[in-house]
Amino acid sequence: MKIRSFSIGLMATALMVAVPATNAWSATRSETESAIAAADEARKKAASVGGEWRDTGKMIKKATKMLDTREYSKAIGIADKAKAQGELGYEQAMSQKDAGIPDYVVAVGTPKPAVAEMAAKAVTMGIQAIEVMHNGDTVVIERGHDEDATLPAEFLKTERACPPFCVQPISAGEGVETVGEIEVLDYLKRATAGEAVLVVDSRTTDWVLRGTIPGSVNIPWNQVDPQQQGMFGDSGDIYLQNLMTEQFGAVQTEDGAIDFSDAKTLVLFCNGIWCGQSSANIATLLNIGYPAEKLKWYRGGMQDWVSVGMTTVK
Amino acid sequence: MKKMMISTLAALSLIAGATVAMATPEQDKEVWQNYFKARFPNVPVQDFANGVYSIDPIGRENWEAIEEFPPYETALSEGEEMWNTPFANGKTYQDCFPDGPAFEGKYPYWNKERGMVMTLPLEINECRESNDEKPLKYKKGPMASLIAFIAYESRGQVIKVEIPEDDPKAAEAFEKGKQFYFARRGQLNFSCATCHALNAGNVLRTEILSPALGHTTHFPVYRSKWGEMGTLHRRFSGCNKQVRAKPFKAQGEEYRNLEYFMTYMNNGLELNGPGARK
Repeated sequence: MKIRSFSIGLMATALMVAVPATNAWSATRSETESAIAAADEARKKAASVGGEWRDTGKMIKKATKMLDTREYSKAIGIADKAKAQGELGYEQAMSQKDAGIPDYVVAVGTPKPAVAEMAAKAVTMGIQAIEVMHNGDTVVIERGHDEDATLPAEFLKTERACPPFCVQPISAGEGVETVGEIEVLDYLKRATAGEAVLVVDSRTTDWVLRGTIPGSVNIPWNQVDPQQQGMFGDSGDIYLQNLMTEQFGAVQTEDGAIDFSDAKTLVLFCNGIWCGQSSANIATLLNIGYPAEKLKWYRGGMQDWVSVGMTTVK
Repeated sequence: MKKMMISTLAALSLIAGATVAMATPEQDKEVWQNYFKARFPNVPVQDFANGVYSIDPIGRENWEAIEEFPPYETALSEGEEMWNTPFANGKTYQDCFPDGPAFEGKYPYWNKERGMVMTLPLEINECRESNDEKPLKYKKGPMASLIAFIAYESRGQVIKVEIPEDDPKAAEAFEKGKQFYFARRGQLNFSCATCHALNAGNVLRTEILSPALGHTTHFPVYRSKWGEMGTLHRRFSGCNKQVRAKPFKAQGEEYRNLEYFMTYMNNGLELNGPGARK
């Protein structure tokens, strides 16, 4: 069931409508009364389809009270706003009449039919396939299951606005090595063998659900850079501290400093050369003292990974 | 080329639309539960009954500490006393509900004769009124205490809401609840799913949004924000207000259908109410 998209314009209009119907000097009591009556009619119409907004009734009450204080033009302004809310609420409810389980749930939740296996191609000379652990399951990374395979839909797009989708430089920071697919495979192998290595998918969960590199761990970039989520001071620091000790293997010493001597080597990636999230995280980590030689950047990211048909997992 | 792609996309979305339109409640439930299992692969399914604490390790530590001396204990003893205290006519709740007090697992259910979804609070008030007692308010207070006691006694019962096939109106009520859940509403133009499916696990200011799966299992709850107990429909009303939509009446048709849909989608989970939440 396709939900008819209810435009973003709605919110914008709802927050801005305050255009008085009558100018300030000429408003009269009867004009105000009819503006209030029109607002109430619009509110009732919205309510009749379950679409009344929270504050519409209060606004109408407020406008009605203003009749006594003879603040007519102000009252008309409020009544008109309430009327617009009523109309938008009605339109919204009508547009949602057929709302059902959204596509993003269906896409992830529908069991996938099994696809016939085809002979996989070598990843590169000398590497046919490697086995990694992903969320407790063994996954084989290989190339080429389908002769007619093309890029997944989300990676077809070439027009992306900067900011935020700016083309990234070749280095994410001084001393931070930029790596490619073969190196990533090696790090994945080492991580699976239990070495202090973590391959980090820095993208937000909605992207990861569409497919990620097997063996990687999702740590959304806004958890490393919590101020990007609107978290300030302590609440954000707690998340970063938790990541440091629980996931990255750093140790907080008694004087509050962080000891990175057993910290894991992190290999960060996001969607590719048009994505600045993993490099922003690297900058933050360098800033708090994470050793540069323990940070690696897979600049090509998912875009490069899928472009050569390497295995992804959902 | 571009045109071709667009028409392929249109065809694909038609197919997607068609499959959902034909989906049975059972299939809806599978897709829904699979979605949360895929989103949170490390969460054991029953753990979704613990709400946001299934996915928030820091919050969970605090919560587990709170559960050592649960804030809903007063409500439990009040509820137990209500259950055991006879009405003015000498009868008790037990006379209305012979299989009580551990009987929360049978709600909500479809009542064919009356053509409506029946919930526990609704039947409690019907019991009171048939014994010449005043009905209780649905959102908090004595009603919340009484169902807290019933929920506690019913812990461990497995949710098994049925949509009887011999009455198309039951499926209709489920569909209405589903439409309610997924319809965007209010000035902020959010649906329930916007927060609890699409953005589950993301943060809203400093709070992590809980996954929808498991939402009905642990009510009523003691919410620190309220400083008291509240029922499921009180929470519905709060959610609606937060997106700036006018809330509906507790135990009105809209919220009862919503409860029917949501509880059905949780089929298979164990009841673990009452709960303590932030």
